[in-house]
Amino acid sequence: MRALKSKSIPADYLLFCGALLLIFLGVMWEYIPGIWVRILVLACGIFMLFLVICWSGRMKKRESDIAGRLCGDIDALMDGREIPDYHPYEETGISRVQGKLLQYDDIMRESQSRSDQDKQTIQELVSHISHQVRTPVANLRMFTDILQRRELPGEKRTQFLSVMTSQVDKLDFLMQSLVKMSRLETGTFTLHMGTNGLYDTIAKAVSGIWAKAERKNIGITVECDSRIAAEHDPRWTAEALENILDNGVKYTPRGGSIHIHVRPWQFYMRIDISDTGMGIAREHYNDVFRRFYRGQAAAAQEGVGLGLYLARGIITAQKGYISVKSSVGEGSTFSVFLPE
Amino acid sequence: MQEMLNTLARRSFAACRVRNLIAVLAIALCSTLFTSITAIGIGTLQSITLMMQEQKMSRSDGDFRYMSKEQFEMMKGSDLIREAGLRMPVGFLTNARLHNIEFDVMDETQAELTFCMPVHGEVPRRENEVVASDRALHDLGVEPQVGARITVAFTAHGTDYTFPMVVSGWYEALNDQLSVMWTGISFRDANPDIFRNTYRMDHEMAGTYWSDILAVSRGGLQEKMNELSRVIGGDPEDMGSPDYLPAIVNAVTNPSPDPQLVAMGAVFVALFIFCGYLLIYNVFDISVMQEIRRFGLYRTIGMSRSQVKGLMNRQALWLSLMGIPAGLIVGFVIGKLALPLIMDTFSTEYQNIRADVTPSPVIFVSAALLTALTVIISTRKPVRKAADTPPIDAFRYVEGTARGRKSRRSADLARIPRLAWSNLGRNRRRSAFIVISLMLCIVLMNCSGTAAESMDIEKQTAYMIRTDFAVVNAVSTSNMKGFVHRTEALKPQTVKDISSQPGVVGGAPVYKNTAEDDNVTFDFGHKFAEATFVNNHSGLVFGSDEEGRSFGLGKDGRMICNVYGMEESAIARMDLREGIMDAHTLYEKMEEGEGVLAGVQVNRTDMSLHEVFDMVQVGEVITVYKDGLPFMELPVLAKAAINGDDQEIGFTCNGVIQIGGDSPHLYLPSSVYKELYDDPAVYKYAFDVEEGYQEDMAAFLDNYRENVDSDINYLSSQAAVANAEEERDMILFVGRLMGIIFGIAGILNLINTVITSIVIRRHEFATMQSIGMTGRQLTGMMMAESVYYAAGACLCGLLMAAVLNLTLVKEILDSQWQFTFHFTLVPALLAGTVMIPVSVLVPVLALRVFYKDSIVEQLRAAE
Amino acid sequence: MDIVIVDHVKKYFETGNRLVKAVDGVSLLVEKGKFTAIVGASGSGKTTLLNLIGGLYRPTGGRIIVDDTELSSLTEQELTIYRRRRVGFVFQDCSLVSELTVRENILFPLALDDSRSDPVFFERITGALRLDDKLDRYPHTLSAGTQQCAAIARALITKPSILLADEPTGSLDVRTSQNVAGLLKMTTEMFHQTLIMITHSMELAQLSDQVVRLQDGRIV
Repeated sequence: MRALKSKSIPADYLLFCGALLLIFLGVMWEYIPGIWVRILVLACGIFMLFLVICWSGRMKKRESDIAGRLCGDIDALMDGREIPDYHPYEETGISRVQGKLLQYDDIMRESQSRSDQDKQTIQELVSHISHQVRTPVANLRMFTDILQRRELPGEKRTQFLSVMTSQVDKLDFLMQSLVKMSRLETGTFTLHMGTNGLYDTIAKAVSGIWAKAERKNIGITVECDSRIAAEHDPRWTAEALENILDNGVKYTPRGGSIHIHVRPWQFYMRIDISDTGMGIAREHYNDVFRRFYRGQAAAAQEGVGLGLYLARGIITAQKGYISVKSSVGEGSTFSVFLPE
Repeated sequence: MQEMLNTLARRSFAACRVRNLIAVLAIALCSTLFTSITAIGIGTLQSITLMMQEQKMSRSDGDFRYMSKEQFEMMKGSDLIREAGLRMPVGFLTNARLHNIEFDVMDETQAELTFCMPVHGEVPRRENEVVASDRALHDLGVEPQVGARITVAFTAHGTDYTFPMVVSGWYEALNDQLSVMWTGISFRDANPDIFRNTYRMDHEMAGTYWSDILAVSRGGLQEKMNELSRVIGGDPEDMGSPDYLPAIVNAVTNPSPDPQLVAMGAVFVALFIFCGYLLIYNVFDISVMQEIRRFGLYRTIGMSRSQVKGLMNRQALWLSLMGIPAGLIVGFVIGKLALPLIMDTFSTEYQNIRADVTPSPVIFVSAALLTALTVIISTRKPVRKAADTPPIDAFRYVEGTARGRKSRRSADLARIPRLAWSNLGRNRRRSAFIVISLMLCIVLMNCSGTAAESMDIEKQTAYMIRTDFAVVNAVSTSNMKGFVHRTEALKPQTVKDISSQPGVVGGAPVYKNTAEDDNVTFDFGHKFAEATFVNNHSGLVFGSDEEGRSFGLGKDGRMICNVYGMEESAIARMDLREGIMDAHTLYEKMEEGEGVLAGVQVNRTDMSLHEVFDMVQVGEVITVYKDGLPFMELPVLAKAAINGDDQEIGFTCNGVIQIGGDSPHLYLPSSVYKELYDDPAVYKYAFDVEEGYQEDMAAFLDNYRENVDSDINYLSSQAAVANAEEERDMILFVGRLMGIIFGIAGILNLINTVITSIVIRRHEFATMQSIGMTGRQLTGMMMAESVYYAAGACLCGLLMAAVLNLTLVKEILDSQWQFTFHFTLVPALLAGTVMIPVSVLVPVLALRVFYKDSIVEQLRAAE
Repeated sequence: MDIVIVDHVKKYFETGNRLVKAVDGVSLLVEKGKFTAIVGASGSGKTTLLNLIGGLYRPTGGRIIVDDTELSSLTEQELTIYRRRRVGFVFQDCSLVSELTVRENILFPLALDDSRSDPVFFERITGALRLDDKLDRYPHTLSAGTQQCAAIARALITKPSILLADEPTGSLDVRTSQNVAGLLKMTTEMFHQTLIMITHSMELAQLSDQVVRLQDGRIV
């Protein structure tokens, strides 16, 4: 069918041949009865030929007109000028193409400005990280210096070494966050999607944060049917949940509690993570998911402001989404929606 | 794009089956209407044309006569001619007894055109083969069968010829007086003597070439044929010229269009289109309204007006494609079935008519085009409405609630009917359409009923026949012939046989002069131009006066008049108007030879004497000439108004116009008539029968005609009554058909409106029900609405029918002599009594079908 | 960059002898790619404002400029094409064409513009809205939430610059409404579109970049 279609002879070509045939007949074939009939045939042929030539000339002219116009439009756009003579709401082909062209130009500009923005962000990031890295590196240098220069009593040494370890841990954390972020940004991380039990994933996330919570005397309760399953990558999801939980633990005062509630939603599995922390002001709902955003009240806490950003990146990549609901001073609820 | 719109159109089409069914029904009904009417019209025309062609024994467009061989060849090669037959008349057979047998040389084309192709056997090929009619063969004394041997005798160029011939084929005669016997061209080639062309010298027809032709085009045929006649060297006009070469158009095949008929047709077509419009417009209007939210949605999403129009038009096209063919088929069947019924009414005036209609493309194409036109006209507005509705408004469309709704507390009891009443105003146009179509149904029913009721059968019967029976020669009832010749008189044996039948009372023959009685003439001083034309059939020369009246002339150039000889009993039955009013005195005086009774045709409308024919006055003296010499003088003693029976029989006057023409009708006692005319011909035998013998007599006459004397025909008062009744039945049939069509249109509109109401106002109903209206009350409300429509239509219809009856219908009926106006409203009342129960039933059924979900579902569906 | 500029727009309706000022001098700027929520009590003129922006009504006074074009300068036909190409509508009640399957419904606006669909984009949208396995079903066989998703997909398919949603979650239950709103936000972000949404729910309004509160046809 397709082969047939693509091979079908254009109508003007057929007409052209027909016209030639008529002319040929008119000239060559003396068996046509009556001179007038012959002349008629000849005239028909010539007329048809004329029409075909006019027609194809017209079509060619139109084609080149359109092409010329579009080229002009593209030139204008490349130059950053407006498209000349543009009527956006006409039911013509050219207006449609121009509209699309503008849309494309728009998106290109958009992505251009976005990449500019990104470049700026990266610069900020680099300065930020260098800032963050500077302290532990300086500390480490100082401690190695001390350790190298002096003979210290074993007790003191151990103390120094443990401080150094914590600084290395911090560096490691920074490095890891950086790597994850860059992979998230560039989209190079691979998800192993599958229908897996949510219970295990949550357990994994909770176990990562358990110790920290224990330390602050924060109770974590989980309300989840073990049969509930969702379409997700357990490792990355656990990571995301852990980030949210980590965030919760971080901003919940001692003796607070974190509650995880899993229940089926219409197309989604909804995981609510509620804490009894300081809460987020309404105008910052969106901000908390931004890179390096740290609430003013959060200045006291350590961290780089990447956890929620990463969490959202991971969840969105799995076709889910996160929303937040909070009241200041009472706590916040992060809702993670994962596809069923 | 096209695909998607197609899909959409197709699916939404499939989704509303009931509505589409109604639409298809409407269109089908419309096309049924058009098809049946066209089929009946064309069938009638075809049948009458064919019958007339058969009587004329030619279905050609025209013919050329008296040509030479060269002229014939030239004529044949002309551009005008599509087909040309060859006919070389030889003459009438001299050995035929009663039947006139014309002996011709013909080719097959000619035989085909003149209805004498052999049905049994083959065309003649050898010189001794002939084809003849069964009647001709009977007359020549052989049974009609292939291979029969006959002798053919004729005179040509003054010489008598006799040939033994073999019958190679035969056909049933169409005409009982004359038929053609023909042989092939080989006969001409074998006998060149007979076919010497001497026409220019002695007007001998044998040897001349005649030809019946079919023309390429029929426009301006007479002029073209005359032109052709001149081109080939003839003179088409001057009868006296030696080159006389008449070109005669067959008026039967090429009837000139009657402007009155055309105008009437146009009015009917307009009426039918209007009926279709009423029907189809409403259906589509409702469709659009039901769909208007959908259109709003389309418009909101970005469908342009033309796209909406396209969508609608596509659906209309599909509906038409379904409805029209169905309508065409049904309509054709109805037309075919109804045709004989309608043709029956012509049967007393036209004999041996074959009522049939072929499924000609003309019928279907014209009916389909008319229907399509109607559909286009009636969908234009709804389609525009659909396209024009602004997007958001349509999207949230709820049909406007009636304005000015007043609530009256006192009306508690009549609350539901009141509610229904206020609902009527929601769509005025639609309400009007329903009422109009139902009203038209009633009005048409009533008009046709009135016309039928007013049909004065007695008056018609009285005009057609005064006695119980009248027997005449069959030629008299043939409008191509008429009683003209003495040989066509009733045979004495026949009269005797009939009069000897039991129950016959007062039988008396009526004598009438014939073309052979041209030696008796009359003169009463009327001036006229002599010898203007010759009547082909009677052979009489006619004169005419300034008023255009024409008179048959005798040998001496005086009027021959239509003269009747009657017994006293017959004269006594006549309607005497002036002069001596006592029939007995009159008859006695006339028997004494003291005068004559003059008959004058009447204005049928008011039965007064027709002034055109009222030429002699009482007291004037008419001089009678016999063989050119004054024979006697007859003063006009009295004048009578004469009817069909006095003139001839029934409605016929085929003979009198060829004998006396418009000259006075003179009535004499039989004794005087016999004195005056040498060989008096009995035209008619009229008689009464005793009570209870009617059927027997009719059976006897049928049988007699069948087996003994095939020349007779008769009319009985019973047949006259039946004829009139048939005409009345046709009026009733046509009127009722149209009434029923409008009625169905109205009912369909009603059904549609009720269904729409239910579908659109579902939410409203559900709300009403949720606040406590019971199902019965709801049904009651819908019923009341529907009854209001019907009742309104009935009231308007009655009123309008009454007004129309007293004005238009009365006017029309009064101008037709067959009618005596008689006011009635019974048909309207009857139609009304059918309509009201139907209007009660429709909403009950519709609610049952379309409103059966629970209230909650209804509420939700309407969201 | 402001894609929609509403400048002192008024829209009055005449019902009988009463003049209803549905929108009475509203000015509003909507930035490209942002989510604007319109809130207010019923009858406050929200829908009228949205319809004005969508070119369904012509304003009684004031200007509406969308994408550098003033709407009142367009003819009826141009407005139709404006709606077709520039604007995606999502209504409160399910506004799918019941005779068409979900796939056909989604492709309908494209078909009206005589365009072909971009299969990749189509899959992306339907994938994001989780309609993949329901494409060949008819609307009435689907839940209200899924129908609304299909309506969103239909609004998105032409890649309109503006998405107008009139209480898209109004007739849905709380759960579904949150889902649909989330999807709407997600997809508009994904396709860089401007979203203007009328909503009753403050929870949804919180997701927006800008909240416009109307009362008696005026912004408060």
